[in-house]
Amino acid sequence: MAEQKARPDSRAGPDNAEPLLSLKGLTMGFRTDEGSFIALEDVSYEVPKGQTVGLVGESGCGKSVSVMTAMRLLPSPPAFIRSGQVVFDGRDLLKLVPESMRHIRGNRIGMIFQEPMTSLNPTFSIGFQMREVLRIHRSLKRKEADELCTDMLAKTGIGAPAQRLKQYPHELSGGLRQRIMIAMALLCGPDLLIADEPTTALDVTIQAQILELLKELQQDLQMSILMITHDLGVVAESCRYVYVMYAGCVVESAEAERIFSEPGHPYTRGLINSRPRIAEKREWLKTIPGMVPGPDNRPPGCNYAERCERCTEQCRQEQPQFVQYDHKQAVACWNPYP
Amino acid sequence: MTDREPLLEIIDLNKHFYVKGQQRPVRAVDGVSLELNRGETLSVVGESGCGKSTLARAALRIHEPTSGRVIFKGQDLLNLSRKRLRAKRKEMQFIFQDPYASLDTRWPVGSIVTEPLVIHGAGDYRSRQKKLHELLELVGLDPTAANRYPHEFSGGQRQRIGIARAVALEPDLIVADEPVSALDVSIQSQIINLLIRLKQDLSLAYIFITHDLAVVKHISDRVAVMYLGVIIEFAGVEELFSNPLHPYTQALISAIPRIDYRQSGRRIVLTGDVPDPSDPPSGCRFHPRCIHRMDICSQEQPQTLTLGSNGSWHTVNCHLYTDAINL
Repeated sequence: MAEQKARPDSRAGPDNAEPLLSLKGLTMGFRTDEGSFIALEDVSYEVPKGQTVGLVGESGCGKSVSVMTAMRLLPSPPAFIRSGQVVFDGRDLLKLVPESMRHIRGNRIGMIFQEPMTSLNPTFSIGFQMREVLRIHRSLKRKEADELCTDMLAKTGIGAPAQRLKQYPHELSGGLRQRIMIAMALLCGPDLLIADEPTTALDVTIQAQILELLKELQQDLQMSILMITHDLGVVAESCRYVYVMYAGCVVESAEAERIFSEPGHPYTRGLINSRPRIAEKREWLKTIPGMVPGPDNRPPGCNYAERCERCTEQCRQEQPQFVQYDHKQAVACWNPYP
Repeated sequence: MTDREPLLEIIDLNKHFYVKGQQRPVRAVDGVSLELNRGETLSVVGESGCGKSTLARAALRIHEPTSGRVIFKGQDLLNLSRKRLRAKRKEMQFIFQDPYASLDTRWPVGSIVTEPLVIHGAGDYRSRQKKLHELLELVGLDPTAANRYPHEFSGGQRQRIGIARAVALEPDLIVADEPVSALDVSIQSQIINLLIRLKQDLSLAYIFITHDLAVVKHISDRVAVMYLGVIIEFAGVEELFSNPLHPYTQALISAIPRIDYRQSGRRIVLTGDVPDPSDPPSGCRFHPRCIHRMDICSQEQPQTLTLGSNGSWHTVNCHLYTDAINL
């Protein structure tokens, strides 16, 4: 194990590629009627140019909140940012005026959401919703816009794209809608695509299609992808580098291959072991006892201490520091697996 | 096939929905035959809209089937009067997917769990309270849970409440409709282990409905693969995963994203979506998406072919296979 280093050194990407997006020590929370609480604690991660990075964790761990904050999509109040930076291509997004933020959102950073059912407006045609993106970010004639939309739909593998533009979301299946969301996110040729659980609502055969499609599009368009998911299988298949989040903190970051063969954090290991595997037969699944602590009752020490099999006295008292093993792996744990 | 006594036999079951303004019915379940032994777990897998939930619901007459026979412990459920059926329901219970929607938010947990006992007039108040405590302990909940309300519990705990309710009447058969898919990964394994333990302790049989093949591989004895209302392949779990015959099953198994991806081999990516069930393709319903499609596939519906002997019994509906094949 290498010497201890401070957190911002946990650089993503095996070849230390230049980061396109980096969150640096982001701490934020929400003010509610019952008091305020911290949702993200000192969260740092990086997405290098042209690579796919995974952000994994269970519901409520803060993975979606971190990108919503980065994209400035959370209304304030109730959300507040205590400290940290979100650097995209050399600029801190948190400091931008709303006008310049709008030039980035949907233009240089595309987003796809989990629910293709609810993220399309049911009262407008697909064509209208796609052209809207171009109307805001590009000044194109209607005909040019239509051409670009059909091209992009065709690129995502949608048959009869010109007809699709006239259709409404309810006329299309879940897989088609997700393809349309992807096409829409890619219309302006973004440098970064944020995919928030892009395949969770879909069937496995459709999921395989969408993952394959994202892989192809990434190679064609040379973009970076931040893949948010709770499915470790999806990470294994699509990401080069992975960040694992638990209860508002990043607890481990590593190369995808490394994280599955030698997980350092007990939580990462617990997550991997609790999934049944096709290749082996076990009578009982390994479990992680207990539940994730809510944001309003996180312990003073490590958030995972209560559920951890390697918990020590120090874990209950003090928050663990990020330890850099080498450039391939970093773990926030007092007592990690070697 | 084993020579144990079948608990449930489904014979040529049909459930057609008639939609207003549409000539043709939606054939959600179309001529399905299955059987389930005591103490066995039968998984029904398939993509959304393939009819797997409808199959289970029609078999237990939650939805009245259009035709067919369902023999449960030697008795045809479809011939029973409403009253007799209701009494019979004691022996078959449901666990639902959404632990948020399947519990009444205005009832304390104690009332939710003992409701089946009240409905079926089992015991008096005191014996029911005693049973309640046993049940809560059985599913790993604190006895104080009885006086609290569903909103005070997490998803995993709510699913435990639903399970306690399902086993309250000591049924022989539980239909679990996607019982873990709404839960987080670390909680899923807790619930799966609980279901396996209950099966052993209470000698339950499960019909397990899910789209998660890794869970299916772990929990099942036998697996039926469903596509557009039809069972296209049915086999023991080891047999099915090591030797999938139908091209759809092969694609499904290869499509599972895996952690051990280096060993997972080549992926078969299917093109297209599941077709509209009110207007299924002619012949084999899978043929428009099939990579091995032949001329006959669009013309003739494949018959169910039984292959193998006792050890590796296996049925498949596909034109690729003929009686000549020996497994």
